Order: sequence, then C-alpha cells, then structure tokens
Amino acid sequence: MIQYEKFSLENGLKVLVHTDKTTPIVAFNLLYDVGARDENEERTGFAHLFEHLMFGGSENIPNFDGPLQEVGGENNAFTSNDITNYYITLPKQNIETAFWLESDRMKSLAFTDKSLEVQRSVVIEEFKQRYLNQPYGDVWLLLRPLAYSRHPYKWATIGKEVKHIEEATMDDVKAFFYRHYRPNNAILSVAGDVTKVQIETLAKKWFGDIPAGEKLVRALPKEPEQLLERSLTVERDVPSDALYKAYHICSRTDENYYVVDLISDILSRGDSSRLYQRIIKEQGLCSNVNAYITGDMDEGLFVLTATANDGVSLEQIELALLNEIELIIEQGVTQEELQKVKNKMESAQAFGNTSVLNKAMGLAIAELIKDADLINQEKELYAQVTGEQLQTYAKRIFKPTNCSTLYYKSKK
Amino acid sequence: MILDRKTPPIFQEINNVNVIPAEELLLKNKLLLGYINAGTEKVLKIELIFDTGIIDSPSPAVAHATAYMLDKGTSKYSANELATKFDSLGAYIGAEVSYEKTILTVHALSRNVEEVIKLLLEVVTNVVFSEQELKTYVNNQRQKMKVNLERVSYVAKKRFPALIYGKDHPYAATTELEDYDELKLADIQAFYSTNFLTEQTRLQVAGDVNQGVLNLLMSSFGQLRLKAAIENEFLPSNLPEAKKLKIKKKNAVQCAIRIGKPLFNRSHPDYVKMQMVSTILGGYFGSRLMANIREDKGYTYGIGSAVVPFRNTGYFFLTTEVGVDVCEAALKEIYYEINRLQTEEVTDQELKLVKNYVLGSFLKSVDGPFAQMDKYQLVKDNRLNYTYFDDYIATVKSMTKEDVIHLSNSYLVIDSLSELVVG
Repeated sequence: MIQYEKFSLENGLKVLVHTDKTTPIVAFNLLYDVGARDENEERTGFAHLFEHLMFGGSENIPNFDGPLQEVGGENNAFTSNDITNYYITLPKQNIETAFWLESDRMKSLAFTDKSLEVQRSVVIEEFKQRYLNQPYGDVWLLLRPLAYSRHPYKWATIGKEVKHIEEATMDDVKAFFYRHYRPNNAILSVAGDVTKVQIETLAKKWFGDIPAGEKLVRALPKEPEQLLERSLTVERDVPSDALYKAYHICSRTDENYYVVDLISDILSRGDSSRLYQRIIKEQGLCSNVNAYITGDMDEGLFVLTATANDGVSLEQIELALLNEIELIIEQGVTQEELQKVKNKMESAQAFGNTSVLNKAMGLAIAELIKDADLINQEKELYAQVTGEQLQTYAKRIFKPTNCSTLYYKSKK
Repeated sequence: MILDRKTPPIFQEINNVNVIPAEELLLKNKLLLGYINAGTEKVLKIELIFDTGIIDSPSPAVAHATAYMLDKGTSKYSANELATKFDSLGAYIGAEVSYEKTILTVHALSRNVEEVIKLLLEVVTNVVFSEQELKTYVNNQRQKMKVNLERVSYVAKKRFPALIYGKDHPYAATTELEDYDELKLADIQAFYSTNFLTEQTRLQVAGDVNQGVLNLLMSSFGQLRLKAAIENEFLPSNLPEAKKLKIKKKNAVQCAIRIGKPLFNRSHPDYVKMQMVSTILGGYFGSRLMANIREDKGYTYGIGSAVVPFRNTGYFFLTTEVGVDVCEAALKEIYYEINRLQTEEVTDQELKLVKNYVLGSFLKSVDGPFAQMDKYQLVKDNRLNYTYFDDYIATVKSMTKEDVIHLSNSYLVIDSLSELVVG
C-alpha cells in the first residue's frame, strides 16, 4: 500500500506526495501530459526533440545539469508516444534545488539557437544509433504505419524520418513549449522522507507564479476498426528471419487492460510460459519468442515476436504461434496458470515499490491514467481477472482481420 | 516579494553516508550467511555466491553455460517443472557469471519464502545438467551472438579486453561462435563439480529477513556439503604495448570507439582518485567529453568513461558511438580533452561539483536493503572491510587540482592508451 497525499495549485499543477522515511534520497518526478501522439504529422519527433531541449538552459539558469550535480543529484527523462517524463533523485536535504530547477524551465526556456542546432544533431545520432545502426532497429518504424492508418501511434517517438528533425525551427519549439509545458498540463510527484506541508510550501513558492496555459482537450483521430489482414515483407542485412504480429487491443484505461496483460504473461512471462516451453523448447523453432502489450493510453497493440532458427521458415513459426492462440481461444487457461501469472505480477509490483523513484513515477502515471490511487488498486484488479474473461477477450482480439504481420527476412 | 530565481537555494554538502553493515552468521558447515533486515515491502532477495567465474573456467563458454544451467533441472524436477514452481510462487530465479564469480539469485515474496527456500535448496543440492537443456542454450546463444556481432558497440566491447591485456590474459577471455560447437556437457559437469559449493561459497539475504527466515536458511543451507576451496593464484602476465586497431564493418552508419588501458584494483592507493579523474573526463552527464562531443559538437548520443576494478587488476576505458563522417573529428576531440586534463588545472567550481556529484551517487547507491547488500558483496568479493567506505568518502573529499594533473599524467599518457574503432 503506497500512502500518498494530493493537492493542486491554483494554476492547475497537480502534486502528489509519498512519505518514505527509510531513505536518504528523494525522488522528484515531473510528468507532462504530452507525447508523440500530440505531434503534427508533418513535424514528427518533436516531443522527443523537445525533451532534449529542456536541458539546454532556462530563463534564469543557463545550465540545468551543473547545479543539480553540484548538490549530489542526478536526473534523466524519457518521451513516449503518450507522455514526456522528467525525473530527479537527490539527497533529501537538497530537495529545494529540484524545485528551483524544474520550475524555472517550466516558467520559460532560454531558447538559444545553439541549443536547438546541437540537439538536432544529437537526436539524429540517436536515430542512427538506436534505429538505423542496429539489427532489427527499424522494426517499429515499419510496424507502426502498418498497424495504424489514422491514429498518431502510426509514427515512432523518434519521428517518422530524420528530415522532420532537421527541419524543426525555433518558432515550432516556442509554440510547442507554451502549448504543452504549462502547469495545468503537468503532474508533480515527490517521494522520500518529506512531508506534505514541506512540499506544498515549496510547490507554491517555486511553481505558484507560473501562469496556467490554455486548457487542452485532446481530440486525436480514432483508429478505425481494422477489417482486412495486413502484411509487409522486408529484406535486411540481419542474421536470422524474424516475425512480428500486432493485434489491436484496448486502451490503458479500459477494464480489459488487465485481462489482456495477463494473456501476454500466460504466453510469454518466464521460462514456464507457453510460448517458451512449446515453441523454443519442444518444437525448437525459434531462438527467441515473446508476447507483450504496448500498454498505451489510447488503443494499443498486442505484439507477438519470434526469431527463427536456421532452416525454419517464418510460415512455420506463424502456424505455431497461431496454434497457441487457438488453444487459448478454444480451451482457455488453467486455474494454476492464471494464479501463477497473478503471483508474478504481485511480485513484480512489490519489488518495483522498493525504489522511491519507481513509486514517484508510478503515482504520477496512475494519476494521469485515472487516479493516483490506481497504484494501490491494481493488485486487486489483476486478482479479479477470471479465466472466462481471458478466453472471451482472446476470442475478440485474435482475429486475422485484426492483425498486421511483418515478415522481416534475412538477406542471404 | 519577488522570487529570486537566479540564485540557487542553499544546499548542504554530503558529509556522511550511512552504510549499514550486514550481519553475519557462520553456519555449521562453514557457509557464511550475510543478512540485512530492512525495507518496507514484504519481499526478499536471496543470493548464493560461488567464488568461481570465467577466469577459473576452461573457457568462458563453459562458465556461462554452467551458470545458465544451474536452475535448469534437478534429479527430482525437470527444467520446466522447476520454472513452473518458481513462477507459481511469484519468485524469480536466475544466475549470472562474471570474471570472478557466479551468483544464483532468487527474488521472493515473504509469504512464500519457506517454499522458495526449499526449492532453492533442491536446485543447489540436486542440480542435473542435461543434453537437451544444453542444446536449447547453445542454439539460443548462437543466434543471439550472430545478431550482436552486427552491432558495432558489441564488437568493440568484445574485442577491447584482448587489445589492452593481450589475447591470452584471463581477463581477455571471450566466447567465439565456434566455441559453441565445442561445448560439451562433460566440461560443464566437471567445472561444476570442482569449482562450485566450496567453503568459499557465501549466502546473502536482504529485505524482509525475520528470525524465521534466518532459521529456515540455517537449517536448510547449513546441511550443504562444502568442499575445500581451491585458491587460483593470479599470475600477472606481461601486458602488450598500446596499439590502434580498426575493425571494418560495412554499411555502418556509426562507428564505435573504445580507448583505454589496464590499470589496477580497488586496493591501489590511486584507485579512488583515478575514478574521480575518469568522472571529470566522462563519468557523468556534465563531464568534459559529454560537454564537448555531445553538447557542443553534437557528434554523438552519448559518450562516457570509467575505471573498472577486478579483484586482481582493473582497466580504464572510454566509449562512444559517433556518425562515421565525424569519427576522426571525435577522436581528435577525445584526445584534446585528455590532454587538457593533463595540462590545465580544473577550476575549484568543477572539482567541487564532481565531488558532490560522486558523493550523491554514493548516497544513492546505498539506498534500500538490496543496495546495502551490494555494498556487503563488494566488501566480501574484494576481501576488504567496511572502513573502505569511510576511506572512500575521505579520499573523494581530499582530492585536489594537483591530483588531477598528476594522475592524468601518470595514468592517461596518450601513447599508453590503446584505441579500437569498429565501423
């Protein structure tokens, strides 16, 4: 049970406080409700480029990292299709430094041309390092536009192409900042040996005078129901053939989220899971097989991936995977299997809660999904899932017409 | 009153870091049990540490395969039955091997700890190595390595130790694809029976460790039969001259750079201060290399350096991946930064910043029972005692500008550094 308190400032900034007296470290997590899904299709990769620019100095503080390191702190950030999340850990006695730094960059960035120029290059190198110069690195650049025809999940966080990043202008940057990086679009979560009174005082002092922005209502194009099977075959310079199958599933806020998460666990969590046992161990078809959900805020994907052993065709593997899907639809799962994945889930959550940073981040994300208390309710929500629900939902999503398949072949 | 946003809030330096020493029990079979009872969650992490690793094995492939197979079947249960049992208890089991040791780790929920300990004891006492499991392992590893060999960063990491230590050095051993063809079950069994479950084996448990847990561990693991330990003497070999090596990788859009040299272990008087020098150069986000090569030039997504200690030796290295078109320019800037460390004094401001950063990281590294347990492990592995940490803090604080110049001139002479470029 993670105890927490919650309050809001007049400018709309939501604040969550969790007290953990056992640690000398405080975690300070600031989540902005903006991700790649909020980008213009002609300007993709912007939310992520922006994350980089947030380290290029703010109105009153020329360098973000230096002053934090000086007080013994560390920080980082990540961007997803849904959110941009900034986090700091630092010694508890220096917590005010985090408020000073984060509030100044929320108030206003420095917007220097040099910072934009350099971060454009850094992001282009990141694009190369993570997506182009890696075997199978471009899978998601191919799979997203195949699975999504309208929803902005059709492009990756890094962007559709390098060109969009190269073309970003300072005007774009400023407009994006003043639209999305406002207090009413953010959730602050602090965890550690702190009190609500202390955090409330600091939050008012440092964030209180930042004006609220326009209230944003997200109206993203909804992905239409997929009616026809889709597939794409590519050849690349990789050692083995690989298969990717993506099925449309519910959003993170849907009650079936817990059901479909457990379906993926039954298939591939741990060495006793069905896919590992049958496809790798018994049938010897693959060196690697996985099932997971993307867990996106809007309607996401259930993904099956497999890397073929030499001499095994992707068609054979596909048949084997479909057979496993069929077994769930026809016969469901056993009580023992279901209890097993629920126990693993409970354990993963309990171990996650051993870090203040995970707790701070978890609270902020839960608040964004629905309510911070979700973090305490999820154990029960998973526990309540029944075998019948699993079978019913599997039947609903695992249809050929709901699937996009990528055949990624080795150029040999 | 208008808020002064230009002046940083007053902060406190970190003066002491509370490293909680683990308590110890010597079981009747001489197995040493270290434990830390702390934390807020009802979970535990149990580790069995075998004092044997890659340097003691006939080949790294054997050491890795042995570690992998430690939990892949016993005389009573098949690999699948074991995995199902651990999974059903909400527990995670896995083994890892490094140059010097092999660790079998279990993460468990308190409510299932009794059954988990029973099962772990079964794994440790009755392990069976099977051909079938080896076959799966070999196949998966071979495929994985083929993919990895396409990555410039992986190739650089794999080939670097042989470049600095010479290919026959124990710390340069690495697995080649062909080694998987040679891997025999008999070699794994032999390695296991001579090197595992010796009197040097240790047991560690951290988290929700009450007396009941300790009693369970004592009564079960106290029965393990341990054999006398074999001490492998470390014979320092002649180190090769520094050299430059370029490994071609066609169609690469980035090249991986690794530069470095052999150094020393944690007991060396300059160890902590050299770590500080490496931190200034490339050990944190605001480091010299990051500031120049990423934040000023935009040549890379990341660049870093570190001093890596082993029990008997150690090495310094820096690593990055840069666009192929800027590879030469990046190398020039890297050497420029090393030279600058040797010739220009760091400012008081920078030195103070790095000291505080290092102490903050240290504070974070002892947060929670599992992190505290890692500190105990460090002490045990390196045959140190807890005063090491007090000395560490004192040494960090006493570092001077002259030390930086002196150490970078002693240990980072550019001609003494080997350079590897893959791309």
